[in-house]
Order: sequence, then structure tokens, then C-alpha cells
Amino acid sequence: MKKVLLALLFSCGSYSFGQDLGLGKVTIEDFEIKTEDTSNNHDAIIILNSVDVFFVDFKQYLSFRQRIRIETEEGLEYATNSIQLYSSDSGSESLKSMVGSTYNLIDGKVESIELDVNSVFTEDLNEYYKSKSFTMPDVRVGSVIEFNYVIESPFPLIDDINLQYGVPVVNLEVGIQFPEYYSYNVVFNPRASYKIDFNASDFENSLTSSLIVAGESDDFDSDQKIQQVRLSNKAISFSQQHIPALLPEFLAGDLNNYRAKMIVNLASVNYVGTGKVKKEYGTSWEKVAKTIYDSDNFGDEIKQSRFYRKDLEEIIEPSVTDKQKIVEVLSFLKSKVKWNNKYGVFTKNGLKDAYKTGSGNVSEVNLLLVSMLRETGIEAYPVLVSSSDSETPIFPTREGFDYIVVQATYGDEKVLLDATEKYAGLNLIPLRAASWKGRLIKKDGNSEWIKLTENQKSEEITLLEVALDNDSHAMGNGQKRYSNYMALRARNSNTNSTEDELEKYVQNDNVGLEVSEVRLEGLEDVDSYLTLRYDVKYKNAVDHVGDKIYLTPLLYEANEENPFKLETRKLPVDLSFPVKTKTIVNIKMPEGYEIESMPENVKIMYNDNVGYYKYISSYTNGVISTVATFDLSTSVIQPDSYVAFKKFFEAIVEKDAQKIVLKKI
Amino acid sequence: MKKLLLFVFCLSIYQVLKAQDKEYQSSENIPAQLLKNANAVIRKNNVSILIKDYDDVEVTTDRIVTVLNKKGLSDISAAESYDDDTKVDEIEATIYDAAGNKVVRIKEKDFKDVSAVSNGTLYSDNRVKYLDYTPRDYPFTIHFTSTVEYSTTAFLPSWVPLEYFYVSTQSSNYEVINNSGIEVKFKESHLDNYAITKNGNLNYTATNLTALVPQAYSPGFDTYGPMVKIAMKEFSMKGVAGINNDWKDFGKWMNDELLSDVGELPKEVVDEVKMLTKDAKTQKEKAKIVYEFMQERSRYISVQVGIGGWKPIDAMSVHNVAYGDCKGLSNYTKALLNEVGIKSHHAIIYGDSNIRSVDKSFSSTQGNHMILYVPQLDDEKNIWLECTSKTNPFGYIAGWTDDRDALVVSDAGGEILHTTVYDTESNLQKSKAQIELQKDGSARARIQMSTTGYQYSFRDQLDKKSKKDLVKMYSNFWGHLNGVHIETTEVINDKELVQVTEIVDLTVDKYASKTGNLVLFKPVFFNRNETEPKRYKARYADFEIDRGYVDVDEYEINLDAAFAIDALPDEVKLNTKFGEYRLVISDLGNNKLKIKRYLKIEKGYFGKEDYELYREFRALIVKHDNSKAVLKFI
Repeated sequence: MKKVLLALLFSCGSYSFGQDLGLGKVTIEDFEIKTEDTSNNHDAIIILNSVDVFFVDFKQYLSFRQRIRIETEEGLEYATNSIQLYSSDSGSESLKSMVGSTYNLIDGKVESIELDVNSVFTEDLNEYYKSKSFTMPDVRVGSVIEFNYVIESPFPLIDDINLQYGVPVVNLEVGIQFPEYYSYNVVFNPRASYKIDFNASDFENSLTSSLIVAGESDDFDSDQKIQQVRLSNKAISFSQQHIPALLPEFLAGDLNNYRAKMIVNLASVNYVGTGKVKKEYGTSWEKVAKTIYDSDNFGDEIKQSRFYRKDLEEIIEPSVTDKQKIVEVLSFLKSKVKWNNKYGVFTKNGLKDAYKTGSGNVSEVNLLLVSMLRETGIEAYPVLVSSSDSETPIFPTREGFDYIVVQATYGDEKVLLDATEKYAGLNLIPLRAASWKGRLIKKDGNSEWIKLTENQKSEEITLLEVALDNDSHAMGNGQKRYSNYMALRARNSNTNSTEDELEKYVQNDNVGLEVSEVRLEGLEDVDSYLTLRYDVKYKNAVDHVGDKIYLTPLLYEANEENPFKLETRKLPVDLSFPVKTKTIVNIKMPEGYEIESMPENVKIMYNDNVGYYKYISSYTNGVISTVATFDLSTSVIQPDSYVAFKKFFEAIVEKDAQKIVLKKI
Repeated sequence: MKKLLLFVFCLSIYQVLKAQDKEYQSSENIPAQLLKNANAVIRKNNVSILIKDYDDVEVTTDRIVTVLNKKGLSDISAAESYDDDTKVDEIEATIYDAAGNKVVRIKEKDFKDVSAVSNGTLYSDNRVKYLDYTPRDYPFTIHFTSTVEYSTTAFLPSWVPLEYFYVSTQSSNYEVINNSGIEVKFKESHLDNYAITKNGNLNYTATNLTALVPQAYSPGFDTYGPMVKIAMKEFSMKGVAGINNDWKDFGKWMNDELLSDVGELPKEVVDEVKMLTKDAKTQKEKAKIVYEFMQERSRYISVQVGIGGWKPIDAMSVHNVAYGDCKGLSNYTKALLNEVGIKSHHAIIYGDSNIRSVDKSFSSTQGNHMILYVPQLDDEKNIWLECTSKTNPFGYIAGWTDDRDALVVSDAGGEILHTTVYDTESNLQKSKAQIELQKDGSARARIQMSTTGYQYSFRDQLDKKSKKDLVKMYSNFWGHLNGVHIETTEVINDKELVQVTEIVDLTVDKYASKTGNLVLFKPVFFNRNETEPKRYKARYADFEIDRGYVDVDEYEINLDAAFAIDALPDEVKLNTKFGEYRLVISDLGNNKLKIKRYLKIEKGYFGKEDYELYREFRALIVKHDNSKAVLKFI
């Protein structure tokens, strides 16, 4: 068997370019080769990244080879690797071969030392995953390391093939030999910040079916139209040079969304010999949704209701309104079944088991909700979504969906629901589920796209009423009101909070601020505002310089620091949801003083009113009143808008720092 | 007759316990004081340690925990680690709802069984069986029982009845039954300050211990928490018999059994280090060459195998693969030093940014790290080497292993020695800056900053950073400057002087703020304290400043000719037992200001009543660092 495998590897190697880069042929040139990516001093350079995928007897083999030069001490971590292997009831992945060597340039000569296979360590991570870890011997800054391993898999699914890493790649080679008994759709990640030119003509001789333009036309989502090819019983290879590093940026979200990579999706199982389709997997989202719906672990599950019917009848009065029914079923289910933090569109142990044990995965919890709502006569549908934990899907696959939410209807209103989140009420599904769009499945298995957020802004409204005491401390009371995601976040932060923790939350590291008597209102009333009321004492309210008093109109609520420090960005800023904040500060004029000057009232605009900051300060009836409104209707700032966005924040910080000058009468 | 009586007596205790179990299964009858600040309540934790022989100890645990909320899940501790010579005989759990009704029983086969590998470790041969349970509701109660058989007896469980912050204890019992004839040493700590009774020899009960909340600047929990530690005078570690009467013979055992046969090196490296050091004039120079040789060619990889993770991988293997964990690298360095005629010893220590000492008064398996002790080089004594760092200057250990007791092991046995103390005055950060304030409120500045002593440890990696990363770092470091642009950076890391010098040029778009005809700005341009210690209404813990330091800043600000000075902040001098602060802002004429700032924080241990004073001191510093100067347009 071992010999056969070696032969296979060899033949598979012939799909790769650059034969002089085989393992064990590291030369002096590898110690001198340079990257064209000068964006950073890189910790390492991947001289060669080679991936070959091929099938023998219905088994998939992945051969992965990397040659890396270590450039810095931090880069030494590239000498340690961990390979994850998946197992399930239907089979296990296994590591079939592993070789590696470290090369050092000593007195102008390349010296090598082999990786000892006994120092490849195996660990059981959990019921599905094992890991194989190894670290290369005698590695120093300047070493070149190379390793090559082969994973055997009984599964037809081909993992995404990464073409870009945290350090630059000089030579990239990918070869895939598609078997005749499976067809795959192949595409390059269109969201990648580094674009790889992908022409169907590159695969001219390999095409078994026509080129399709992916992405579906719909009214509210501008999916990019990207070419995808369907391949079977053919080999393709691909090479590229000088792929720049993909570096993380603050608030960019999941870096994988922007990685250059090849996405290979299983499209069908075919008959051997004829190549005709035996079983078709998703080729459109409609078909994907139908396949999911037809599964035993989905559609059929919704129809069961015997096990909870009695309990539900006790809770729900038939006479209440439909809206009230929805609220009650949701709250009943939340108290009865808890989410076990596991994702998935399919049930694992089934709705009945989840109901009985009181815990279930996303599918079990939310399909129970659909089932219960229907039982009480409410129109309700499961909605397939892609969670923020997985990458946003580009093309239709079953794996594109990993989460379910629910849409329910009362009168003309449609509301989205998610029973896995304690503090999510009507029409506010948790952020983990709201990152993309949803596929609603009707009773007949047909489906359609729906929006998951209505772009409603999440608000924070702050009100402070204070007066200065004899020590120039600002004394008074404050309140904060939160809506939507701001409220969800604040509820989750403050549930079970002690008095001290509540004070700390409001105080929010503001120096000189003492908060007491914090009252939390509306914690459980998830469909309305969450309110915090508190007493404040702020010691750093004013500066006495000379015989004047300088007062910051917004006190400690002023924005003191711009959170955006990078000069430019390559990746978007993802703020999760649109925001509106309104801060009102009323300060009673101290006795014996009058106003010498006040900041001007302004409205600062960002990007044609996509965002604005309005600042109005006035003096009437002995009270200085300042109202600052921040409004941002988008949650994603693209790199080309970033500089303007940063300047917008700079202007806000500048404005908030301005003082009211008071002089003695 | 006597036997029968014993039986009856046992039976009645058994029944009482069972009755209590019933009571503990419900969450509804927890005394109110135990709910305060608690995420979980330990209803009962009975740990019984049965010592059968020097290499045979059985630990049974009978534990009932009520979990009040999600954060309390980590207090369940329904888990047992095991390996080749630790056998889990029995493990089981039952879950009860708030009313005390049984929800589910979890048998051994339903416990998850995985490798116990902590982050950053390549491999460990430990495994763990643990309970993975998703509660339906809070509170709920879990009853966990286990019996574990140990043949490695060097790490017997201590008794820590107050287990952690935010968890209270209704009842905790600890009992050692010694049938082995081997003497068991023990040490009781701080039991008198808590509701703890001694039922007999090594038999304790704690009742109704309320939950503690962590407070900033608190000394380590081990300096005030209740605890009983035990150790057998004869024990076994992975089949190797050991003796532990005191540090001297325990250290001797370690030296002879764990450390004596791991020092052999290949000839090539012996020749190499001899060659490298042949022209060295002093012992110190020799040692430094060897240390730097080791740093250059080796790296730190954590691999937890071998005798309880206590025996180093031999020097030969470490040389061949050029990596090792702290023990492997320390031992390798010791072997190398030995070849050039320099004596050094293994030192077992707690590696932690907080200062934590090996307990001098109780010999046992302690510590989590190993460094190397060099007793003498020329006329210099007591040098300590951190062998897992590729960058530390020779003999520099501040930040992780400084100022604490360590166990030093040699042929002569074990000895407790104190590591290097970095004194306040030498932990210095010194800055000088030239600043130009423009008419439009923008500014341009050049700062030169040097750091030594303990403060060196914060900045010793900067010379390795790329320009891009430095720009990012400085933009955050001086994040209070609105619209800061870092223009040029230079970092010089002088390992001989153990000093980092940084020179940075920058501009700030919006430094001064205009109000009417007046312009305000904060003269403390760079080194501004922005946070104050947290306020506590009831401070229960003493407080400790682990390391002192001094910051000296001197800035010159040139004002644009369009400005005239309107008012400057008054001079400030604060003198407290916690340190000193001085801020002087003076008008040098010609529109030039001089800012002198001096801050010294003293190392020390202070009573809880001093905490508020300290907080006020720090708050005043924040206030003055943010004080404003006023200019007017001419």
C-alpha cells in the first residue's frame, strides 16, 4: 500500500509547476529569495505552498507541502504546526505520510536535519477532531523548513484551499484531480482583498459543463456575479507568484472572509462509467433549501407536536391576540429549552429529546419554535442563515447554512425570532445570526430570500442633570436608555450583576466619576428600552485656571480619544449594526459666574449624511444645556471611505474637547 | 464489640450525610449570606485522602455544587485528570433542578474524555475526563463523586475550602487517613481567620464561608486565603521513590534522581563552546558567551512528558532539535556552562508577573517554571538566567521571576534563595521632548525616551518590530493625541547597559482647542496617567505594589508667535508614602514653556485602610496630568 501511495504522489506531483522545488532540494537560492510584498517586515516567507488533491477508490487524498523561511524570532512559530483530522460515524480522516526537514546555511553550505516522525504528537481534541502536532528541529531565524504530509479522507467534500496567509507566498501551486464519480463547483473568493485572476479559459480543457454565473438576482442584495466552473473527471492545476500577506486590522471581522482562496463545492454524485448525475447537491439556493427541508432531521421534525401539546395548552389562552401568542410561546420555549451553543441546520437528537432534556442545538431550539407556533395557529417558517462564526457563503452549498431563525406572522406584521438568545425579543435576532440574509422555507419546501435586519438603528440615549457644588464637583443624576442591539448588549452585560458591577459598568473607567444607586429597569422586558438610572458625582468637571472656570460641556461623556488609529486600511471596518447616540447634559450655572464664551454649534457630516454629529450648546434659565447627536446609518465602512471616517471621528473628539469659559461676575 | 460500635457509628454518620445531601440538592435553602457575590455555592465538598503506601493514595471526592448563573459553571469542577499512573476508579454526577428534583444522572461513559493540553503546549501526555452539561435553568445543583487512585504521590491535593472568587462554601471537609506508617507533613495557613474547625489530626471542616470579590492591588490569595497543604515524607514520582523531610533532602532527591543523568552533550558542541570562550578574559564574559550561544540557537517549545513534567529532557536531545521547555533549556545551558568550567544550578520557581514565592517553610512539589542560578562569576554573586528567552540580556529576569524565593537544587541538596530585586530608582523611564505648538492648534514634536530596570521589560521587544508595527504601537501608546501621525521612529536596544532608547518624531493635527479668543491645551504632552485605581466601598484586602518605578519627563514647548500666555497651571508637589509627584510648568520667556514632571511609585505592602489614600494620590496625578494651560491670540 505504501508503495502505491508513493507512486500516486509522484504522478500527482506532475500536476505541479516548478519541479526543482521538490522536498529535499533546498538550495542556497532559497536562503536568498525575496518577497515583493514590502508592506511589513514579515515574520516568515512561504517560499512554496503546494496543494494537491486527488482521489483513489472513492478516497480523497490531500497532499500539502510548504517551504518556509523564518525571518524573525516571532516567525519561529511557523515551525510548529497542527493538523486537524475529522472523524464521524461514517469514517475518519487520517494522516498517511509525513516528512519534513530543516535546512540551515552554515559556512555557505546547506545543512539539513530531518523531522523525527516520533515527535509528531496525536491528541484527541473532542468527539469529532483529533490533532497531529509537530515542530521542526533545529530551527533558527534564517532557517528554511519544508514539510509535506498527506491526509486520507473518506469524505467527498474538499476543504477550501487557502492561497493567502499571514505572511507572503512566493510560489503557489495547486493541483486538483477531480474524479468522475463526483462533480464540483470551483470558484475564487470574490471578497478577497487580493484578487487572483480567474479565467474560465484557464480550465479550457477541463470543463465538463458550461460556465455558470453565480449569485442570484434579487431585489435587495447585490451579490457579485462571479464565474464558477463545474468540474468532473478532469485534472486542473494552477500557479501564481508573489501573493502578499493578509494582515489583520482592528474591527475588520473575520479575516477569512477576505482571504484569497479557492472554494470547491460538491455539486453532484455521478454514476461511474457514464458520468451521469446520480444525486444532485445544491446548485441553486432554491435546491439547497429544498435538500435541507427534505432531510429527516429537518422538515419532518417540525410536524411532531404530541410531546409538548399539553404543556402548551396550559400556557396559551386561545383568546389572546396572535402577537401575544408569539410572545408567550417564545418566552415559554426559552424557559423550557436552552441552547447548548452548538450550531447547525439539522437536528441532532431531535426536537422531542431537546424538549425532554431541556437542551438542544440551534436547529432543535428554533424548529421547536416553528412547530409550537404552528401548533397555536400562528404562521411560522424556518429561515436558514449563515452565522457570523462561519464565512459568508458565496455560492449555494448546504454548508453555506449553519443556523436557523424563525419568521412568524401576525396580522400584516412579520417578525423574526430566535429562541436561543434569552434577551432577544421580537424582530431582534442575535448578531451571530444577522450577518447576511435568510432563506425562508415554506411548508411545501419552496423558499425565498428575506432580509434579517431592517437597518433599524440601535440607540443609546444619555441624560445627565448636574450642578456644581462648592468643591466644583458635578453632582446630580443620570440615565441611559438603550434600544435594539445596544439594549441586547447591555442586558447581557448586566444580567446577574451585583451592585458593584452595575456601578463599574456605568462608570466605564471614567476617571473622577463616582456612580451610586444604580437602578436597572426593563431587564426582562425585551421588547422595549433597557434603562439605567443612577446618581453621579464627577470630580474632574472643571478646571480652575487663573480666575476663570473651564468646563467641558459633555463632562465625562465627551469622546476623548479617536478609536481609529490606522492611517489607511485594506479591509472594511465592521461595526455590526447602525447606531444612534444622543447625549444631553444639563449643568446648572454656578452662583457668581457668567459665560465668557461657549463652543459653536455645529453639524459635522460624514460621507453625504451617511453619518453626522450634531452638537448644540445653549444657555437658558440658568442652565447650560448641551445636546450631542451621533448618527451612523451604515455599519460597514469600506477602505476607500476610511480616511474620511477617521477624520469624522477626529472632528468629534476635537469638538468634544472644547470648553465653556466662565468668569466671575 | 468495638468493631460493631464503629460500624454503628459509621452508619449513623452515613445517614446524617445522606439526609444532608437531600437538603443540599435543593437550591432553595441556601443561607442568604452565601448568595452574596456568588456565582456558585459549594454546598458540600468532602475530600478524603487515604494513604495506603508511599506509592498508593486513593482520593475520594463527594461534591455538591449549586450553580447560580452562567459564570458559576466553571466552579462545578466535575473533572478528573489522569495519565499512565493515575487511575480514575469511579466518576459520576447527578443533576438536580432548583427544587431538588433529579434531572439526569451522568455515568462515567458519558463524561468527555480528551487530551489535557493547555494553550501553547505542543504536547502533553495527560488526559482528562470532564462533564459537559448545558443547564436548562439556573440555579441547578450537581452532585459529583469520584475515586481516583494515584501511584505518583508527589502532588497530593491541598485543601482550599474557599475555592475561588465569586464562590461561597456552605460546607467543606478534608480528611487524611494515613495507613502507610509514613509521616505526613502539613502546613495550615490562615485557618484562624475563617469559620474552620479541626476535627482531629488532619481532619478539618469549614462552614459558611462567604464569597470574595477580587480587589485591585490585592496580594496573592495564598497570603490570606485558608489552606492546608500536605506532603508525604516518602513518596513516589512515576515509579521513582523520593524523600522529603525538608528542602535540603527533597532538593537532594531531585538532584540525584531527576537531574543527575541529563547533562551529557555531544562532543561537537562542547568543542564549539570551548572554542567560543577561549579568549574570554573573565568568568562572566565566558558565561555570557555561552548564554547568548544558547539563546541564538534554541527556542522555547512546551512539551509536557516524562516524570510528572518534572524531569528535563536531556541536554543531548535539546541540542539535537534545538528546542526545549524551561527545564530542557535551563538544563542544556547548565550543561554548556559546566563544559567551560562554570558552576550553575537548577532553580524551581513560580514564573508570574505578580510576585509569588515558593513556600520556604514547607517543602513540597511547588513552582511552575525553571531558571538557572549561577552562584558566582568573578566577584559578582547570585546571577539568574532565564533560558526560555531569546532576547533577555545576560542576567536580566525582571517581570516574570524577579524578587521571589526559589528552590535551588545542587549536589548539596535544596536551598531556598531570593532572586534579583530591581530597585525603584533603577526602574527608570526618562523622556525629553521638543514641541512646537502652531497657530492652528496643531503640534509637532520630537521625543527621546530611555528605559532601564524593570521598565526595560516593557520595551525590550521594540527594536524587533517593523516600522508599520511601531507606528501602530505609538499611535495607541499616545492615543490621547487627537490626529497623531508618527513620522520617524528609531529604537536602540543596548543589551550591555540594559537600556532601550526610543526617538520618535510626530505631528498632531488637533492639539490645542479654541474657545472664543482663548486657546487651551494640556502641557503634559506625552506621559499622562489616564486611569485611577478602582474605588471600593468596602476594601477588605490589603494592597501591594510589587515593583516601584520612577518616570522623569522634561518637555519644552515653543508657542507660535500669534499666542500670548494667559494662564498656566500652578506648581504641584505631592508627597505620600506611596510615592512622589511633581509638576512644574514654567514660562521661560520668548513664548517658550518648560514642563518638568517627576513621578515615583514606591514598592510596598500597605494595609487596606491605606487603599483609599493611594487611590486619591493616583487620581490627583491623573487630574494634574490633564491640567490645562490657557493662551490667547494677540
